[in-house]
Amino acid sequence: MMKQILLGCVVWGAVMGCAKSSDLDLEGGLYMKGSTPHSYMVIEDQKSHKSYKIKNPKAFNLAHRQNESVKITAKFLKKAIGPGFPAVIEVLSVKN
Amino acid sequence: MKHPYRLLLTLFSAIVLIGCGGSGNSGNSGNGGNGGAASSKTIAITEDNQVSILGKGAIHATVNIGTRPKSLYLLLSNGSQSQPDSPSITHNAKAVPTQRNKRFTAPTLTKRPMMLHSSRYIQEFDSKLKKLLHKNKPSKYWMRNIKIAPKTHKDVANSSKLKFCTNIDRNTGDCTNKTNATARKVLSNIHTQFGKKTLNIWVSDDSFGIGCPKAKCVTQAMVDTLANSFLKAGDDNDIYDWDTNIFGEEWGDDASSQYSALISDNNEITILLTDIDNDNSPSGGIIGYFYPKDTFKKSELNGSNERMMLYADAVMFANTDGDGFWQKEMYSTLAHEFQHMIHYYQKTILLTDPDSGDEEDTWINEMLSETMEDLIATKIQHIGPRGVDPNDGSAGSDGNTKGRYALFNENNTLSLIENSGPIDQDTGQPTFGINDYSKVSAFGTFLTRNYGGAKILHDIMKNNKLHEDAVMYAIHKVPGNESKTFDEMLKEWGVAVLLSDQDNLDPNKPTYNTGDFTPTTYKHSTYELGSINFFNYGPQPYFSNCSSIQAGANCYYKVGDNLTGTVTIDLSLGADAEATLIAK
Repeated sequence: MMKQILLGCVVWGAVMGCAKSSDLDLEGGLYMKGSTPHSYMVIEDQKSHKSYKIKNPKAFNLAHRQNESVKITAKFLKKAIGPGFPAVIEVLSVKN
Repeated sequence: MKHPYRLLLTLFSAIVLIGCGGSGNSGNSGNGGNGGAASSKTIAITEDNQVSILGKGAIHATVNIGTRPKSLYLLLSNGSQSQPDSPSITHNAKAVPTQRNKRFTAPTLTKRPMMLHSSRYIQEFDSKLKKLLHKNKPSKYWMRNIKIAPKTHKDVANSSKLKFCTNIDRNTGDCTNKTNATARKVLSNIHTQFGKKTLNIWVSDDSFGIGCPKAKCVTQAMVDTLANSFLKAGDDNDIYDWDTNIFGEEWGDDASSQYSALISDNNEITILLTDIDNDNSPSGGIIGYFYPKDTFKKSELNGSNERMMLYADAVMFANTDGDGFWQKEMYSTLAHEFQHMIHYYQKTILLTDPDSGDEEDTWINEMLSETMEDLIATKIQHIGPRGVDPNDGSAGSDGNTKGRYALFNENNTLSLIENSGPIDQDTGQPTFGINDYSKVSAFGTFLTRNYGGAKILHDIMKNNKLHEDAVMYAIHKVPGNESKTFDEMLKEWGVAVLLSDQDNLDPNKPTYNTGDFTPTTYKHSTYELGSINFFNYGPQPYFSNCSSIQAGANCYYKVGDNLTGTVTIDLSLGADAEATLIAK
């Protein structure tokens, strides 16, 4: 019985760990990129030096924080596909 | 030693007190800065147009004007890239009552043309696409050298018909809006400095021919004139030449060699005349754009038209009211949009780190395009952003409501580096609005008139820097400016705005206005830069109480006119703002 409980806990922990593995902790400046009409907001991560396009800037009022440095947790949505098409994230929380 | 610890504590306290006393500034008393005593400055006004740095923090300035009346202004510059500032300003009662400022009240306009180079539905397309670009990683050497022959699809005027995709679903990349169009003009094998080029002009069927269902209809004669304005035989005589002379070629085989999702180079450019947004408006709205989706292969992005192409509003272009204004506005727009096309290739494709996937900041890209319109205004005989007759090199006349700078005057405290347009309700992205176009135009025309002409635009684009670093990289290449900072640029710009009503400034002062054209030659072309006086526009520059200054912005404060004797000014600025006194 104890073995089954333990096994269940291990499996549950593994699942939870994997479920959160696509979340990113990023810190960097928010910038508007590209030319109109396809300008978009990115965060330039200080650690990796990669840019991530933010799918949902409205959710956290990020439009009013252009050029500020922010710390966010985000869900990774899509890989970068080249210049002008950075990786895409969905912001889950803003820490500052 | 009887009390060693007490001695050490005393020594330590002394060291702390000495450190906190500060170094002070030479010639000033007090410490300045937030919470500290004000630094004192005494300034004697001796020049016709004098610029004096007051500095940062808390400032007490005594300005000795003398008996010759002067107008005094304060320029407050916030060079911070992210933090606003909230200064306070007080000054003594004026020694002589001031006259009313000379202001021009613009006549009421029932409709102000609003021309944007944007389309809201395009904004987010690239974020929702499947993997489109991937760097080719051939496993064998011979694979690098295979050149895929470009797709041949020779357009034939008045014969070729296509359904162009004008809008895509942001999530899937599938086409959502289409327009039936016919090729109306093909100019083939036109020699340019980048080899032979072909121009294809297409017109939506619902926008072409007398009696078309739109408010204004494009005719063949209009198409012919448009084609010749963009590309024709001969050197240095069309939009293609003038743009590429500064920014380089619009596409090349290295694009598709590096990124297999992109189309190869067939040396063709397409212009699609269509009723953008289907608004049927002959005098406002979106006048044109470049949409990078079209540089992809259709197999990668279903909504691509697989062309190097520009979109132009047919209804506005066909508007013959205003003595050719709308046609020239379209040529100017094509020069603007063509810069975006070239920029996408020359900077985003060729110079940006593919792993970062990053582009240039919007405000810089738009500044380059807006300034291009100023450079070619005399060439296409258009009023351009200055809103002045193209044959008039002076700053024009009082009360000018045309061009971009009346709107700049109304919004001259906007942050240079942020999008300040309305938030897109669908995407939540802050848009680059019509006020933003005005401010970057004003900054770009300042740069060309003070930092080496047309070359500065090339240098700003052609580097691998981003943000203000891209601009400062170019500034640092101008002799004597190797250590200039962005803060200093911002201040200089503000000073230039305030002194723009003077057309005979000392060469060491930043200048918009010489009373005439200033030629600038770069590579194969000479461009004429007309004078600009912001006080000639209606409304004139806005002066505020500067209680709040955005990051990356200037604020203009007027102390008074016709001042004599002594004026005392007390300022309290935050850490990033700096004050400059201008007397004229």
